Formats: sequence, structure tokens, C-alpha cells
Amino acid sequence: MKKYLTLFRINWQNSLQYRASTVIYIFGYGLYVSVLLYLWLSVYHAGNQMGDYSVSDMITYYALQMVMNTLILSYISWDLIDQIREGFFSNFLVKPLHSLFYWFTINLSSKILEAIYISITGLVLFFFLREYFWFPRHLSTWFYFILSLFLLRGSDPPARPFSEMAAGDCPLASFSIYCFCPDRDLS
Amino acid sequence: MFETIRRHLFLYGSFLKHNLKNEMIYRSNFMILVAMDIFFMMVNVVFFSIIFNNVKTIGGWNFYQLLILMGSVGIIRELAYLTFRQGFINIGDYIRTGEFDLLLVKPVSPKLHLGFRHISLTESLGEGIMGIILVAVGYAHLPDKHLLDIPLYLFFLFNSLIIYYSFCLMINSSVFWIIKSQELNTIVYYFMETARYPRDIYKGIGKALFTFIIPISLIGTAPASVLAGRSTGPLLFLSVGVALTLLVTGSLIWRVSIRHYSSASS
Repeated sequence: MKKYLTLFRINWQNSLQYRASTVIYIFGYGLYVSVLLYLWLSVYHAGNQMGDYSVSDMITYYALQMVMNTLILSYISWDLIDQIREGFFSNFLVKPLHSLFYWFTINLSSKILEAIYISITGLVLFFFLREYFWFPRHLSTWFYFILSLFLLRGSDPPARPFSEMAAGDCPLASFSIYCFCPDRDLS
Repeated sequence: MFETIRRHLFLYGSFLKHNLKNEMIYRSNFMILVAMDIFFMMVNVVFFSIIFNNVKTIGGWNFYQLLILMGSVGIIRELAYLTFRQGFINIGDYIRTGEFDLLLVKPVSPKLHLGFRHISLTESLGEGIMGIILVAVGYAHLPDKHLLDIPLYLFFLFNSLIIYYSFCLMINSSVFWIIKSQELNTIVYYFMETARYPRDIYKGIGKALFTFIIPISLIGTAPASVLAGRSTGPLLFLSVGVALTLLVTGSLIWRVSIRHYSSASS
């Protein structure tokens, strides 16, 4: 356990060393989501409706997608590809570490830091769009949402080639977001 | 002047030939890349088809006009990979490992060398092919066509390429300070994804932000509006003005930033 804690600390420090690029990424991703919100506001303000989704549903959907993308998607498959191609993976094989726990620890430390950054971006978006956001009223809805997030996390093996795909493309991610919509509140 | 152009064209041709051979070694990878690009472009077409089942226009653009917009962004992306894009993606590695030293001592501008060295025909080939098809299909379905449409469209495609280049230049100038470029270029990728939405969806401060600071509202819309019959004098002049301003600003920022490069050795 101690070696994984050390690994966690080293990767945490490594992530902090390149914090500027991570902050720019999160800020830029917030702007990207704001463009999508412009698209949907333009559609809805022209008097249109997408299925039975209200404008609040749609905005909440995209804001959640932003949070989930940041927390769930993992780019360690790219590191793994580089290590295999360049032959550095052999060094890893002789280390007394379990590969799954190793990658899990590395990923966990980066994601905790990203969660802190994304909370700040989320708060800014929430401030400007607070009239559109909707939160579930029932505790069970929150439970299903968090449970589906964990299932989603578990379904993301380290070398998944399409790991950069948007969370909205994945059925489980869609289910997580589905739980949040007001008319579908799971009570 | 002509000698310089001839030398740069020769360099470009040599790098293109060399990189193409490299890419063709992995044939299955090449086929998958092209097929995936085509697939994702199709996903976008389906996405807009679903929206258009519920709406008549988005920001005043109908479905066929949006096909031209989507296709134009695909073509611009392919042109970018054929000129500079892949080089900027790799710049972080050059700076982190100190390999950028080698670019500085070569008898050619470092940013040109960086761009040319990594030019790739296949990285976005599927998008380019699909882009041309979408533009052709969209244009064929529009009622009003003019003789000047196509040359004007090509001019504004080139103009958008300059905007895209300048934006990449400005963003990647910061790599000399922050060292890592992967996240920066992921953000550029995301922004280019949104260039396929018409400029008319933006209002207020967002319109100014996505015109002058992050110019994604012009990159696709300006050329597409020419073919779609939605171009206006102010939009086209704005597009050329932004391209020139960003090119000058981007080059200045790059020049200042490059002075902060401190190699990787002790």
C-alpha cells in the first residue's frame, strides 16, 4: 500500500508541476461547453424544442457531460501506447507493482486535481446559467447517478482505444445524465 | 525572393514525400485513420439531421447550408495537417527534450521547419474527403449559384487557414513557459469541433470572444457563407481583417516567446 501512496504523491507533484497547462485545458473546455450552450440556446430561443427535452434539461445535460468527461475519461492509454512502442514497458514489467493498481493510482491522483479545477469552471458556468440548471429532488436519483458514475469508471479499462470519446456517446454516461432530468426524476 | 520560395517549396515537397512513405508503412493504421475520420464526420451529419428533424434552421442556416459549413471545416483541417498542425502538436516534446535547439540552428525559420517536418496527408484525410463531398452535396442543393462563388470560396478557405494558423501560433507560443503542449492542442481540437456551428448562434460578449480572441466563429462560417449565399460585406471584411491582425499578433508573440526558450541541458 505504501508504494502506491508514494506513487500517488509523485504523480500529484508531477501534475502540479504542469498545472498551467491543466488549468488552461479546463478553462478551454469550459469555453467549448459554452459554445454548445450557445448552440442550444439559439435553437430553443427560436421557439423550437428537441423531443421532450426542455432548455433546462439540455443545458443541465451538457454541463454534466463536462463534469463527467473530466472525471471519467482517461488518457493513460496514450502513455501506455508510447511505452510499448518505445520499449519502456519492459522496465515496468520488472517493477514490484500490479499494472492495474499502478495505472489506477496514477489516474486517481490526476483526476482528484482535475476535479478541483473543474469545480471552479463549473461554478463560473453555474453563476452565468443558474436559471437554466436543474437539480434532482430525490435522494434516490443522486444515488443512481453516483452508482452509474462508478459503473462507468469501472467500464473504462486502461487501454480503451476510444477513451477520448465524449461521455455523451456512451450509454452508461447517457444514463447517468438521464437520471438528472426533471421529468425523469427517479424516485 | 523567388529563390527563397523555390527553396521552401523544395523542402515542403521533400518532407511530404518522406512523411508519406512513413505513414504508408503502417497500411492498416492508414486505413483505420481514414475510416474513423469518415465515420466521425458521418456522426456529425447524423447529429445535425436529428436536430433538423425538430427545427427548420439553426441561426438562420438550413440543413444544406450547414453541410457546406461542416464540409468546409473538414477541408480546412486537412489543409492544416498538410501545412502546420502536426508540428504544433509536437512542439512540447521538442522543448521538453531540448530538441528545439536543432531547429534553431537550421538555415530555415523554426516555425516553418516545425510545420513542414511533420506534415501529414493521412492524419485528417478522411475529413478532407468527406468535407469535399459534403460541400458538393450542400452546394448542389442550393438554388442560387454564381460564377464567382467558387474562386471566392477558395480565397476564404485560405483566409480561414491563416486564422487557424495564427491561433495555433499564439496558443503554442505559451509552450515556451508551460512546457507541455498536449492539453493546449486538445483545446484547439475542441475549438475546431465548434467551428462547424454557424456564427449567428453567438450573442453579446460571446460573439466578440469567439471572433477576436478565439476566432472559431469565423473559421468555418466565412468561407461557407460564400457558397451558402449568406455572405455579407462586413462579415468578409471582418474575416480578412481578423486574419491579418492575428497573423501579425501571432508572429510577434511567437518572436517574444522564443526568447524564453532555455534548452534542456545544464
